[in-house]
Amino acid sequence: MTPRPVRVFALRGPRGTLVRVGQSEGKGIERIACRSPGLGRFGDILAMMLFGMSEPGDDEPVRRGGGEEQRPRCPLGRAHVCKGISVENSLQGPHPARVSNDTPMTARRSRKREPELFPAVRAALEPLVAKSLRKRITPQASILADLGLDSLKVVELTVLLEKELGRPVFLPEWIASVNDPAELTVESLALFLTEQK
Amino acid sequence: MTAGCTGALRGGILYLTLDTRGSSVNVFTPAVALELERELEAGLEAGARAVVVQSKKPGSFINGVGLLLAASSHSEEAAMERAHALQRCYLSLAAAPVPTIAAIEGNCYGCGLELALTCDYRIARDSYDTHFYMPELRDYAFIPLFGATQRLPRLLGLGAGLRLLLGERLDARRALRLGLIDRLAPDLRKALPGFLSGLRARGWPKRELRRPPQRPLPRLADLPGPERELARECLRLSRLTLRRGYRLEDGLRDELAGFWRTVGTRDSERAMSFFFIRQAAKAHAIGSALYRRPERLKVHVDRSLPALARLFRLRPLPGVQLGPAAGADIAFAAKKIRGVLTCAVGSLQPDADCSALLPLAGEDVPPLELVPTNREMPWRAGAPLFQFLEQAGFAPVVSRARGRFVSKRLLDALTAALREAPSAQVRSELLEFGFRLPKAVARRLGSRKARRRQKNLAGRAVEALAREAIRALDDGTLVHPSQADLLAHLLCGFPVVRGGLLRCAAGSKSPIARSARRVLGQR
Repeated sequence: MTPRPVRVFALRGPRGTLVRVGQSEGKGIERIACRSPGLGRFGDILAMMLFGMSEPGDDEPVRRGGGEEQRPRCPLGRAHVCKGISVENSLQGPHPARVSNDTPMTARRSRKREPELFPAVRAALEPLVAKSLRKRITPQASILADLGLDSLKVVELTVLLEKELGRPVFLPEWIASVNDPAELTVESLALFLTEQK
Repeated sequence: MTAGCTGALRGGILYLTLDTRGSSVNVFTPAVALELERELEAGLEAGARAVVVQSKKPGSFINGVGLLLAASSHSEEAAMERAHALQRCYLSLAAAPVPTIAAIEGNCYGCGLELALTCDYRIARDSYDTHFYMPELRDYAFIPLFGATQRLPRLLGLGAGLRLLLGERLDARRALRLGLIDRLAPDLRKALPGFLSGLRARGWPKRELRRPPQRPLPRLADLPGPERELARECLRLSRLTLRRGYRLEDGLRDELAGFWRTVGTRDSERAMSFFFIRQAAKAHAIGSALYRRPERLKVHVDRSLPALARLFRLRPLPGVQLGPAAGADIAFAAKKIRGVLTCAVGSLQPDADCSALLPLAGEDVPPLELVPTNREMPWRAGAPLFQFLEQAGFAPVVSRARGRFVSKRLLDALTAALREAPSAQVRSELLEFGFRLPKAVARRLGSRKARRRQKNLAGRAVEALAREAIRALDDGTLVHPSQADLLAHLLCGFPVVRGGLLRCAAGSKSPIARSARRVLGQR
């Protein structure tokens, strides 16, 4: 497989930091918002993007430009992960986490694993999704575009998740945490619920 | 399969029918907008002489543009792309060379009202659940984005238009009096042919805007603090329409910029989250947040409850018949009526199916606490009663109160916390914090005799309410935090921009913060 060069753009705005991973500023192949101004969270999200959406610190292997295997254990700013990543700020001068390197990094998405709470999320989603769409309940499915949920059904999903998990669930925080409605996926919901545990 | 809009050309009239797939209400998503635009274009090409926009969902014309879309759009580029797609649909409808008619039955909220405003004429069903409401500013803390700030003032005048933008709720009869709709009919299917014949006889005219009557502007200083800035922006945008050389396109562009400035703020995020709190309280109460209108319902109201009977008479609903207890489905009475779902109003009655308290009957949307006698939660057997009350313009909340209604406990807690402070200070500080106090509650608060000003009254009010709400959750009277949040909002006007009473308390430095985090399941 030909390695794909990746550049990371950090755009800081009033709502947090927008991270784009792509080949040029306007055409991101991945976009994710970092709502916390802290670098730790920024690094976590970055690592999740580059290392196959797995939790930071997970044992997923990563292939870099030189074919070297590396475990994504550190947040952004630690050389062994960030080496080769170009972080640029397009809006407001240099980003505090600016790390640049002449060699562009390439990241291969490792084989995805189902998030820990995916079965619980799927069980809660099943009664709300039309029978013909149930087979679409995969980690990558968008709850809006693929599963056809509207805001009232998300409320029902909250109640069903509370039953599944046995604790209060507040999904507006998840909804506000994404940058674009397309990112409201089953996987992101499962990850959000895991974080809230 | 369509996303939610189909078109049919019959007798030279293009009928665009909204029916959002898989939803109990109509949601105007970009996909639906695109379908509407395509159907409109095809219909006009096929020679339509007039266009009728109607809904297939009972009780919902259009409820919104999709809160999920608004709440999760943080990328300006993507959000604007989506907004432009929707705006294009509105503009196509407004630019149609033939008369356009919105046939409205059921909730006509936010972007639904904005869609109706792009039509030349609006006719509505004479029923209480035909409601006109702009929730953007009051419920979601952002500026509307599909032309309401530009079209409402031109149709109704600056004063009436601004009131609607600020969150005044209009039923169909009041909407007719104000000039928001052109005709009111008990059955739209029968009224529509007559209306179209009238247009045909006049040569299918487009509407000509006349100078609307001028009504006084609302006092922005009387609004809760967090709403004032948004209201000023709405007023500024509305006033653009009075400028010499005004162009609608410029106004719409300015409005969209105003929307984007206000939609991503912390206030608007919290306010949008309150929608989920409100609906979660309903789902925990009756087992579903979906909107269902009973087909037929016979309701009896006991003579001992004249205020309630009057409210029901003023709020007619299709398929709901008020009458004697014999053969009724639901009865509001003091004692159990055999074979009828009986709701005892005023006190906790063990022999009725449920008891109810209506503490603020004079409010536009009076809260009503329902307590099922069998303590079942969710109370599925009470769903028809709950849905009927909701559609008749009440705000029902279900609790498992024992001895005292939770509403009374919360109101008493608020009064007790503020009774030592001067009443004027209480009103002004709570208003500044964002409380929209119902008049009956405002009268109870503070003391006219007290002269010494006190500190942090809003904080004390939040703490007292949260303490009582947590007690109710701990003793099982309330089963979910959303019910406490909703009660605080309905009874005391707790501001939605604070994101719910318990979340506000959990994020504060008050001694109650820890308990609030516990009941919310936060670490």
